[in-house]
Amino acid sequence: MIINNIRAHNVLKYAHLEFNGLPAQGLIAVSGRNESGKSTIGETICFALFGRTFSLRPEEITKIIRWGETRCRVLLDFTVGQAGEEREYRVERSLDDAGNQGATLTRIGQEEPQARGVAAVTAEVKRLAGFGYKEFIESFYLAQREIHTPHGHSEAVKSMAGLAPLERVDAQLAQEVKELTDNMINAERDMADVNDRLGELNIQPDYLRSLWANLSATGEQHREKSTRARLLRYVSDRCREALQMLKTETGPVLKAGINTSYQAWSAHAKRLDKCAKVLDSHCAQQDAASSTTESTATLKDFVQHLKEQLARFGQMMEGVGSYRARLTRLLKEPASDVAPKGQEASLPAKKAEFGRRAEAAMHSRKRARVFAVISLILAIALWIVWIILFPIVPGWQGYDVTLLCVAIALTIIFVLFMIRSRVMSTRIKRFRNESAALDRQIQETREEAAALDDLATMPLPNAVALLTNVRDEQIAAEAAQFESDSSVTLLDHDSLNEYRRLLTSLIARSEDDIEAARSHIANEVAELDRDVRELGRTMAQLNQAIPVEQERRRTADHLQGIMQSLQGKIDETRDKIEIRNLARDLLEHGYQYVSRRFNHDIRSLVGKTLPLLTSNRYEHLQIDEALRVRVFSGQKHDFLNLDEISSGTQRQIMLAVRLALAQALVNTAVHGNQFIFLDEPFAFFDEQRMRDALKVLPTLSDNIIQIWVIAQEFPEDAHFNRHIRCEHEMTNMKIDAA
Amino acid sequence: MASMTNENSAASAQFEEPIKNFIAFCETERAHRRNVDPNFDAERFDKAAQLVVDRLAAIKRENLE
Repeated sequence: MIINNIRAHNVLKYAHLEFNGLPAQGLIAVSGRNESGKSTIGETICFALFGRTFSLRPEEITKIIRWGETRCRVLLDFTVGQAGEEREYRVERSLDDAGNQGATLTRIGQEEPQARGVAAVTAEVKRLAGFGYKEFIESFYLAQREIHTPHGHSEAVKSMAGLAPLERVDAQLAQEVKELTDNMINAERDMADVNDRLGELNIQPDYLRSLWANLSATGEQHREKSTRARLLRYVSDRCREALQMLKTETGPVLKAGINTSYQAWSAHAKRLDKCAKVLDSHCAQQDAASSTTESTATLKDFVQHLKEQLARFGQMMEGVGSYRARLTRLLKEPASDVAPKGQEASLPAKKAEFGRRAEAAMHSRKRARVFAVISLILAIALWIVWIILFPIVPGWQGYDVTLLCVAIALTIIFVLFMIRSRVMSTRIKRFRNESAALDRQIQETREEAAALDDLATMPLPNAVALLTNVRDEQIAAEAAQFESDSSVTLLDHDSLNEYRRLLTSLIARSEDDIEAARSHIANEVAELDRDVRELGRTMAQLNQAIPVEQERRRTADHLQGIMQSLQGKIDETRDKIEIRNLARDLLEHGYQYVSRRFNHDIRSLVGKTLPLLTSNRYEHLQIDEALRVRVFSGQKHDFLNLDEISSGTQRQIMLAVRLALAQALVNTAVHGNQFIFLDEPFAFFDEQRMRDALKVLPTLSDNIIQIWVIAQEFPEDAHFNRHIRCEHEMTNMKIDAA
Repeated sequence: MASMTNENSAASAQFEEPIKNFIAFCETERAHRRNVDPNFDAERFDKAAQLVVDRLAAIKRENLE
């Protein structure tokens, strides 16, 4: 920053102060006696740049207003930037006696201010200049009366050294570590809370699975028992139906008697068989009613026995069938007169044959009788002729024998025909008798056939008796055997009664067994129903417990998620803290590193400056971290503290240190040409030392090229690029470019 | 834009040096720690160093705005 122009109104002693066209490079001397207004120029520059001065505390800044005035105003034009990139700005500040400040910063050539307002302008000046008020007063502004070097740990020096950003980062990281630690503590507290809640939940890993397993097992039992109960009810109902059927179907059987036909017995046997099968399938074969197995088996044996009896009779009836067919054939009317070859002729055919033979015999007899009559008449005539006419009629003698023979022959013929007639009559009679016998046989056969046709419907004993009398010997023998068989129980009263009693007892036993089975089933069903209800309640409880447990698990999972999240957060936070602590450790070491480098640089800069300012009397010095300076005395061959050397030398050393700091600030922050304002730096310098210093100052730095130097008076031969002379009574001062 | 860059150069300069100095220190320190500490965690070291550099850069940006 190079100051180009200064214009001030009512600042301290000056009603008007104006410097135009200040030299950008070289010495600008300000001289005058005490209270002549030299330091006011420095105060004006400081106020223009930063809104405050070194000598006035911020709360008493209104004292900068000239006595008797209510308002002051300062304009300062300056140039910043490196060579070739310079930019010119104007900062303008005003202040009234009420403490109201105004400020604008405008780039020269532009109408609109770049910044407006005290804070904004101050910040913008700092940004453009590369230093703030504190750095300014510790480096480029050596105020009057100030004889100490700035403390090494001051903010300004830290800023010059480039330590301030490190400290700022360290402060940020320290704050972050604190916040992160707080966060971690909070997270750990939250985690402990969540852990407590998890503990309160007391989630058992296998509990939900066991609930599901219980529900599954209970459901399975529920289904099994329900199914079993339904099955038992079904079996019970079927047993009841079977029992009802047994009662219904066996009623007619028990009423059967000696007059019951084979057909009726067969129907009864079917009923009983049906009942036995129903009992068997509905009861006996069911596990639940297995107690009826024995009675059902006995009943089945009974039915089997009955069926066997009827089967035997049925077999006989089958045999009777062929016999009955034979009878039918015997009774069949002939279709022709000739019976089919190989077949027995039917009785009507035989009768017809006899009729035909009788008729033929009658024809033969009739012819015999006719021929007999004819032969008789002829014989009688011949005999008459022979007897009467032969002797009378001559000539017949020769024929008498012939005639006699003929007469005899005719007589014989007559006799023969008569015999034949007689034979025929006998034959006719025989045929008629046989025909009558056939008629009887036909009648008997028809009656027998009719009886056989009713065999199935007639009382069974009668049927058996009928069979014993049929002309078929085999049938008759079988019937007789059947009739006499003691195992046959259907043919006599006693056996039949015994048989019915047996059936009655079997039915009663079956009833008892079925009722017992049903009772047992009812008990089991009742027990099953109780179990089913209990299982249902258990299932309902499980169905309620499972969602509750699931919700608890969801809550636990949620809490676990929170725990994991918190743990992740804690780990992440811990990692962040560790990284930040490591960063702070690096900052601390880096701070020392930079600080040492800064001290080294300062020492190096001072080492170059000090000999020039002290005429090579002092070259070496020690500067510690606090910027405490010790200087090496060649005479004493040791490092001396500042209080061990003269005030002039102290000021020289301090000036050297200040210049080094200024150079360091230029190096680190400004990066461009810079002014420096030294308010009476040579207070304890002798004239020669001042002369030497004034000669050396412009050569000390390539960047600090505009050097303001204040002194009460300068050597006569000193050369300045601008010399501003202040006077006591001077309240208005205007200096333009030469 | 160029003028803005120029305007920012002074302010930028205030923070360039600390960043450079810190990076230089970290490079030296990294080599030193690697040599003396067999358990040296280079990744964490780099992370911490980068964190500081990022913060310094952020401060620099903040001051440039």
